[in-house]
This record gives sequence, C-alpha cells and structure tokens, in this order.
Amino acid sequence: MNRHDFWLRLRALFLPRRGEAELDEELQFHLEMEARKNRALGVAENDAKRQASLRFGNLTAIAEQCRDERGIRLIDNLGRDLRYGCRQLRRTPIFTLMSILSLALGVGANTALFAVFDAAYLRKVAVPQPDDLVSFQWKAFGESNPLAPRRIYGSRISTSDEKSGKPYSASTSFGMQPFEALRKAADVPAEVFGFASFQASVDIDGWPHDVSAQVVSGNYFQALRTGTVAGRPLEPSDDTPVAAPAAVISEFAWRDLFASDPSTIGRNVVLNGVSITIVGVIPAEFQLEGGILPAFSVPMTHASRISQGTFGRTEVWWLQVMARKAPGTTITQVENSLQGLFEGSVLALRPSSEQIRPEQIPRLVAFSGSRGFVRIGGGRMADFLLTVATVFGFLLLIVCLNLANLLIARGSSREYEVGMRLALGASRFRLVRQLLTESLLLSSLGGVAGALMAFWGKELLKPYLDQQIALTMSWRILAFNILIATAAGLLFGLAPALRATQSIPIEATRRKSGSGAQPRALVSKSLVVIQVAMSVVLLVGAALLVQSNDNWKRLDLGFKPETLVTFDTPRPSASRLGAGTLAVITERIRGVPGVLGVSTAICFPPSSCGQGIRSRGDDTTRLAGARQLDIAPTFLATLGSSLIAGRNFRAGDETVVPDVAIIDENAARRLFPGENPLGKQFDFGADSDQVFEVIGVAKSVVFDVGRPEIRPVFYTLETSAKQVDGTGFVVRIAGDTESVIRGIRSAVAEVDPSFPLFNVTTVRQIIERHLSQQRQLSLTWTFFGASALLLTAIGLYGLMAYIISRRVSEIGLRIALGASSLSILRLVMRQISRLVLIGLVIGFVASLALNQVIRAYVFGVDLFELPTFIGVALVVAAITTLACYLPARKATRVDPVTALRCD
Amino acid sequence: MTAKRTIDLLQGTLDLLILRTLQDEGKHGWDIAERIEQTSEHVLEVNQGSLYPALHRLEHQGLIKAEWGISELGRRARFYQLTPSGRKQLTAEFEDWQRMSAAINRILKMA
Repeated sequence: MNRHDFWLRLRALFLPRRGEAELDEELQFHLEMEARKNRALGVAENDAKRQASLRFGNLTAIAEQCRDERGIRLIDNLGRDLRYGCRQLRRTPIFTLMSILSLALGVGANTALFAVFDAAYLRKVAVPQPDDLVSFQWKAFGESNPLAPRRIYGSRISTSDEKSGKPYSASTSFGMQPFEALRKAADVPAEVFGFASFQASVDIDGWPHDVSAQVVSGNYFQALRTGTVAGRPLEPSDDTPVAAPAAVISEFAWRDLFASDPSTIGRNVVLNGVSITIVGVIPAEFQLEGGILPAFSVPMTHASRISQGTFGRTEVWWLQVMARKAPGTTITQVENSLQGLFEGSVLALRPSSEQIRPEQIPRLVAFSGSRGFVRIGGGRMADFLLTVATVFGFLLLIVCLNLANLLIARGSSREYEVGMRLALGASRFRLVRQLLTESLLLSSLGGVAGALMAFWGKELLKPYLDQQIALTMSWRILAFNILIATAAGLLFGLAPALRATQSIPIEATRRKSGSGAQPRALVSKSLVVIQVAMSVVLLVGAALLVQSNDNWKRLDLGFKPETLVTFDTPRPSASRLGAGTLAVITERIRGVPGVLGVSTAICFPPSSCGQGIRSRGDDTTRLAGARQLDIAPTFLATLGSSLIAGRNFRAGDETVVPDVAIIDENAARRLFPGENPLGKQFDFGADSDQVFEVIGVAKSVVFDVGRPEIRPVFYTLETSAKQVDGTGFVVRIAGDTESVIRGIRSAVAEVDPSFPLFNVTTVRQIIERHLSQQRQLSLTWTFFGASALLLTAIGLYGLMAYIISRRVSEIGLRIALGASSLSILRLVMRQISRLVLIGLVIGFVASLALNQVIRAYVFGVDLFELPTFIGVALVVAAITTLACYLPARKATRVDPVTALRCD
Repeated sequence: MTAKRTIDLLQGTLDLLILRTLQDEGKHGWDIAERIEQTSEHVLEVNQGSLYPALHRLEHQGLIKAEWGISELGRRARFYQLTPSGRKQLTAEFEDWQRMSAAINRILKMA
C-alpha cells in the first residue's frame, strides 16, 4: 500500500458518501458525453441515451468494480454488512437469542477449560528469567530394574522406548541421596533445589484447617527468586536441624486463613503436630506446579516429622527436583554435568554384592522448567483436561452444526432476497461475505457472552480440580476465546452462505418462496444425523457414569465402613516410649468405651500400596496388579472380614521362611484358578526373590472405591520393623462416632501427649470423598448430554420448518384434495424419522468406541449395555419427535387457498 | 469487409495507453476513450466497462491523479493527470513495449 493508496482509503473511510457521489457523477458524465456524441452523429434524442447506456454496459457492476479497484469496498462494505446484519438479527429476536445462548454455552465452556489449561501448563513461572528453570526426571531401562526405586511418592510411568522398544520406567520423584549429590555438586552451572507437596492439617487459634503444604530445600526460594509480599523467604540457614522451624505461606493462605493481617509474620502455628513460625508471604502469582502454590512451605529438614513419615525415608523416592541454570548455559550442559553424580549416587545405594549391568543404571533427564514443574505422565490434571475437552469440544461442534442448520432453514426464506441481489449483479463472493459477516457478528456476540460465562464457568470447574488453582484471565485466554468464536462463526456460517447463494437468480425471483424443486437438503440431513449421533454418545456416557455410581452405592464392600474409624500415626520413634509405643496405644484404645476392636495395618485406605503378583514360577501370565496390606493378626476380625480357608497369622510367623501371606478370594481366583491355594506360593515376578506361601484365604473386601476395577488383595504380617515409619489404625466402634473418637484421642494423649494422630476419619467418609468426584463427573456428562439433546431438538425444529416451507403448496394441494391431518403428518415426519434412526445407529456405534474415554471412570458397567442403549434411544426419539411434531402440526393447518396462491 | 475490424485490447496494454494519452495534458474518462479510439483510427476499441476501474486503479497506484474541473459541457468532470511517478512508469513501459513489439515483429517476419 503506497502513500496515495493510504490517503485515498482514509478519505473513503471517513467520507464514504462523497466518494460514492463522485463516482456516480463521473460515470453519469461519461454517459452524457456519449449521448452528446450520438446526437451529433444524428441519432434521435431517446436513442442517443439508450445507445450510450448499451455501449457502456452494466453501470452498477462497473461502479462496483471501481470500488473494488479503489480498495475501499472492504472497509465500506464491512460497515454496511454489519449494519445489515444487525438489522437481520433484530428482525428475528428469538433466533438471535437462542443462537447467542447456545454459542455462549459452547464457547464459554471451552474458554473456561482453556483457562484451567493455561494456568496448569501454558503460563510461565512468575519469577525473573523463568527460561533458566530446568526440571528433572529419571529413566531406568528394564522390566524390573533392581536400581530403579521400589517405591515412589508421586507418579511413575512404565512404558517402552519409542525407537528401541525397550521397556523403561520413569518418574520425577527422586531419593534423598541422589538429590543431595546433585545439590552439593560443585562446578555445575546450576543451582539444584527440591520440593515435595503433601496435605496437612494446621491448627490456628485452636481450629484445625486442611491445607496444602510442601517441604522445600533451603535454596528453593533463592533459586526461584520469587520475592515476598511480606516478611522474608525461607533461606538455606532455615534448612538446618538446629534452626528454629520456620514456614512461609502463600498469599492466598495469608488472605484466607489470616485475613492478610501483617502481624501474621512471626506467628506460631501447629502444622501436622509441629510448631512452626511464619516468617514470610509469597506472592499469589507464583506457582510452580499446575497453577498451584501450596499454602505452607517448610524447610526440608523437618520433612520426616511434618509429613508423618511419608518423606525422608531412604527407600521411598519422594522429592521433586528442579534447578536454575546459569545464564547462557544449555539444558543439555546441565544434564551432562549432573549425569555422573546422579548415577554414582544411585549405584552407592545398592549393596555391592549385586550384579549390575551398565544399561540398568538409571539416567537423569533434564528438560525446560520455564512453565513450571510438570508431573510425568501428566497426572490427574491431564486426564481431567482430556476428558473434559472431549465433552466440551463435542458441545461446541453441536452448537455449530445446530446453528448451521437453522441458518440453512432461514436461508430458504431469504432465497428471494438473495436471488434478487444476484440478479441485480451482486457477485456471489460479495453475498457470501455478507452472510458470513452476519454469522460472524452472531458468533462475536456469542463469544462475548461466552467470555462472561467462562468467567463464571471456571468457578464451576473448580470442584473438579484437586486443589485451588489460580485462574486468572490473560491475553492468551482472551485470544483463545476470540479464536474459537471466530472459528465457530466460520464453521456454522460458511455452508449456509454457500448454499444460499447457489440458487439461480431467475428461478429464485420467479418462485418467490418455496415450492417446486425439492430442497437440496443433503447437508442439513447429514448435520441432523451427526447431531443425533453426538447426543447419543454423550447421553450413553452419562447413563454409564450414573449406573457406575449406582453400582458403587450398592456394592457390598465386605465390611461396614460407617463404624470403622481409621487414622495414621507417625513413626514410633517420635514418641519417648520408642518402639513399644504402638503396642501400648493399641491396648489403651481397646479399653476406650465404644471400641469393639482395634488393629493396625500399613497401606490401609486412603493410602494404597500396589504390587504385581503371580503364581510362583509362572512365567507365562502377566502379573496381576494387587493391593498389599501389612496387617496385625487382629485386622480381619476388626474389619469384619473372615477366613474362608486356612489359618490367620500367629505368633512366630514373622520368622517363618518363606514369608506367609493371606490372600483374598479374588486373588485366589486369579492366581490359582480351580486349585486349593493353601500351601501354594506366589512371588512378584522373575526379578524379585521374595516368595510368599499362602496360609489362608479371606473373604473379599473392597478397598479400591472409585477405581474402575477391584484389585486382588494379599495380606502380609505387619512386623515392628515395618512400623518404623508409622502405621494406620483401624478401630471398630459402636455408638456416637464423635465421642468415641474423642475417647481415642485422650487415651493416646495419656500415653504420650505429643504423639499426634493424623487424618482421623471413618472409612465411610474416605469412600464418600472418592465417590463425590465420580458423582460430579456423571453430573457434568448428564448436563452436557441434556444440553446436546436440547440443541439437537432446536436444530431439528429448524430443519422441519424448512422442509415444510418448501412444500407448502404441495401440502395445500393435498389438503385441498382431501388428505387427512394424519396423512399430512406422516408425510412430513417420515423423512426426518429416518434421519433420527440413522443418527441413533451411528451414535451407538460411535459410543462403543468413545466410551473408552470414560472407561477409567466407570465401575461394574459393561460398556455395551442393551438396556442403557434402549433407554437412551427412547429418550432421544421422544424429544426429536416432539421437536419435529411442533412445526409438522403447522403443516396440517395449511390453508389450501393461501398455499396455492403463493405461486 | 468494408468496416475495419476492431481489435480487443491486449491484456495489460490499457494502462499503457491511458498513461500515453495523458502525457501532454489532463483529460476526463470519456475523452481518454475517445482519444484512444480516434488515434488508433477505430482499430482499438476501449471497453468502457474496464476503463473506469483501470483509471481508479492507476490513481491508487499513484501514477495519475484526479481533479474536478469544468468540462466542455459546462459541468463538473473528473480530469486525470500524470503524476511524476506516472511519467516515469510511462517511459519504462514504453521502452518495454518497444522492445517486445520489435522482438515479436522479428519473429513474425522470419523468412
């Protein structure tokens, strides 16, 4: 665009009328001159002008071409199209409102979801130079690599290499020794820091609060350079055993728990039984993982005490590791410089007797941490986002198809207008653009409404997120909103616009409205089929989830969770009574009024320990994923389960070789089908030398509530050696739960007042927590299934109205010839019923495939359940029939005289 | 055949002809069309439907500029004039045309 062009365009923009008038004047002048010439050649007055016009050609089209050349059409027409579009939308307020609302639903839901995605994955960490942050994971090759840590706090993936196909496991959780080796490394261009989050209970003014917390290495805040809102960050000097326990809190926690009171700095609170002093407040913008900053951060030196023994154990890898690299170095340089240190520290952990192949040594992998720490395998957040994105994507697609349908229906009533304009020389491109402007106007309005809805909708999403996530509007979210609104506008506007402008002008103007040729309804028909199919998919999913919830509710757990109280203890060494503490406490609790039985168990819910088991020496079958519990002999009786065969654990079992174990019926069926399991042995696969002999078979009980499948269970004997990190108590009670729990607390306090009990709750409550998440998921699916069906109904209504408008004269003729209302109804409904039927069939086939998505969430539900399918089919059929019936009924009331006069 | 056959303008030559016609003095649209037809002794006929779009295009390219003046009819008309860059463009295109037509002629007159 050159200088002249720019000024001329500007002039055209601000003085549009003047430009138009001048163009007109110029062309008229030409005709005048031409006429004068003709007259001079002796042509009669009338003919002179006519010949001039003929020679000149289509004045309007030429004027249009001139506007084209002047390049002002784009701007000029946009304004005109917008004004015209507004008028059109005002003329059909119900259509406009419905469209905007359904768009707001579709665009809003997706924008809200994007806000979550943005917070979790896209936002860069709000610290100076976030690009210098490096995140680490390790990778160990081999099916059961002896060098890979056996137990992980956090997530681990087991998969195989894409290129070589070799199996490996990987995780972002590190052990304490490897971390220390990396952190203390000299001559490395990176400051390595570690952290690990957990759930904690904090006592403030005597009131307990559940909070998120993390332990951090002393250099965490220094390396990240987060800054503070008040007070000071934690420093390396805080991370020493002699330092007074200090903590920093997040700005959210400062606001929610302490009303942003400045005197919070210096306050003492009790976090998980440890008294700590709050020294600073970290700004709300700072989050390192998934948009979340734990409420409390405490130095790692207190990790074991404050996490109730979860952290600080050598055999468990629990620490997440990141680093800030020196400016100008690359991630690969950091990785290379740390590799040897990491491998050395891992090797040092193994007894030297063991034979190690070099390829078994786990390797350190570094990658960018600029967008924060991302858990390997994505974790629950990724699953959640994927599931919801599938649903929301469907929803938006349905909204678009639906609007396309309505626009096509409306296009038929505007055929006359479009045909007339084509006849007057408007180009098809020009008309398509005008129609597209209308749909984009509509989608922009929907987008704005959607942005408002997202603002409100992201609050609705919060219950599905594990923790409070800092959801803030950003330009990225706004851009996403505009992008999908525009994409939606094009998606639903293009096909109708192209179709509407296809008509042959002569026919369209002559026909005025409808009749004659059959409508070219192919697009609309396939749209209806797709919509019905999509509604079916969503509704079937919803029905399966609802059924799954029902199954959970009705499932016989094998024990009574209501009167079963459970809590965790820290390691017995935390008490002055030492190793004998747990035995003393057990006896005291047994004496509390209302207590019917007491036992201890390691890995009792909500914790869970998994182990792959197989019948000994059986190399042919896959390991069965089982749940392991280390129990005291009183456990089965306390739980309310019982032995079906064999015997319980008894004194002296701890020294028996091989180890003895009790398996449940489920495990017996899986490992020893059709055999007597007693005396049989099982192990953890070829790479483990641990062997267990089955001494008893217990009735099956369900611990894995909320999971898609029930794992087999095996019990091993809980020994005092296994209790070093604390254990879980299981107490069968009778009477008022609250008062019994109070009795238990005071009984324990009598033994040792400083010995804390964690997560005191009934098993019923643990189960409820799992189930409420499931309920919310099924509610979401039901909501969107219902919305989809409603939108489909609107779409069908539109199509039906369209079809009838095209056949008005035919119907009038039939009525005039004596057709009954019923036969008219049958006539117009037949066509659509067939489409609905096809949609149903496609929907069921598609839902079989797409139900794989929700497989991870449903329990005890066959993914192909005939009654469910029939139920959904009936609902869809009923709603769609109603949607078609309303306009169809109008058809039966067509006045033959009016209808026939139309032509 | 008594009447001379008119020839449609070659693609892209209209711009050159307009610029050449405006070389000596400003003219309005009709005048430009007339001048081309007369000078070519009615061999070339300007399609008036493409004349005005071409004029507007050239104006936007900054090769010509338009002013309102009083015409021989005594009413307002839009007069077009060459701009300095239009003059340069004309020289360049004229040379191009000379070379091209000479080349084509040589080929057509090949023995």
